[in-house]
Amino acid sequence: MEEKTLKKSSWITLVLILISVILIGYGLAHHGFEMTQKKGSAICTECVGFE
Amino acid sequence: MMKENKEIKQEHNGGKTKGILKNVWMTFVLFLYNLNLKGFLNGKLYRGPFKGICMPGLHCYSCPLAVGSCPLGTLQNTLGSLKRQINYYALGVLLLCSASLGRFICGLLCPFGIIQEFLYKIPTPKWKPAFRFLRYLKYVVLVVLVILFPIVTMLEKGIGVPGFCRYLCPAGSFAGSVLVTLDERMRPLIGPLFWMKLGILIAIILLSIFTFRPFCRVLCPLGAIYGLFNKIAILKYHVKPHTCTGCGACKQVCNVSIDPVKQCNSAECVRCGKCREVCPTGAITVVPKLPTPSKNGKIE
Repeated sequence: MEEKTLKKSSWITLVLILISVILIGYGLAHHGFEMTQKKGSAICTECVGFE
Repeated sequence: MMKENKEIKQEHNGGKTKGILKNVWMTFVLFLYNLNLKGFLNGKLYRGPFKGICMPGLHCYSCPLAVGSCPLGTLQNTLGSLKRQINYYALGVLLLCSASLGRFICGLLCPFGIIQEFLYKIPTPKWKPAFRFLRYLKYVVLVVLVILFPIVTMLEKGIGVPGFCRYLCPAGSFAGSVLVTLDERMRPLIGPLFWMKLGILIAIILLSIFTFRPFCRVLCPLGAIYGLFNKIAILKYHVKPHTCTGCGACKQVCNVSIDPVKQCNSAECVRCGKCREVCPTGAITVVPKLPTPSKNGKIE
């Protein structure tokens, strides 16, 4: 029973990893690292608690 | 009997070596996230190409030391700009990290978790609470501040506000303190919010000296996400039933108050590895699990 659950969970993991790879590939193909880089390159006033 | 004792001693020494290696690794990871030492001297943020890389652990990308981007900050910004564009890459990275490593990221790759663990090593009397109810607070933080707050503010004001970063994130408070210390021009920007967040940071630092990783266990929404994947992640703990003697040593040393034999892949386990270090028979192992082809050629 435990072995069966383990196999099922490893299939779910595999599907999730495939989805994540597709998301990364699609994201990079459309925007590259630009979206993340743009957000991280200026001081985020919310993050540091400034008014 | 003597041979058995010798084997146990050898295993114990192996545990000590593992502990030293882990400390070296954690120091290395801390440096890896904070490589912009030049920024620490002049108070300027790193704006190079590495800022486009979404790192797996909690840190603040507004910190002058940081070279990468925080997954939680990126997730909130994505949710807060759903109307305009979605950062599929950041969502993919978060899902990939969760499904492959689960909370191994908390234990081995999160700079804020590592700082708390180093603080816990300060020799003082320790307090080991189970946080039986408080541990669910991190799921509330995840739903309310990380997911709902950016979406609701985006629908109301047009621009999503990252709720967790704004009201809670202690890594952001640390970044703010560094900026204020290094750059005089930033000081007029300090208001009640800054002092409130600084208070949270100081409380977490003080608590970390006496309790094991209080922020990771009670408040961290990133830990909540990774914890949900602990049971199904590729890399997980496995207890060999025939090797385990049931001595209870792992349960006694467990920093998050769980029984590793019964719940080795619990969402609360931050993969600190303490149970593996003390196990006299080496019954707790780290195993990668994926569907494998069986003898008859079918994929199981």
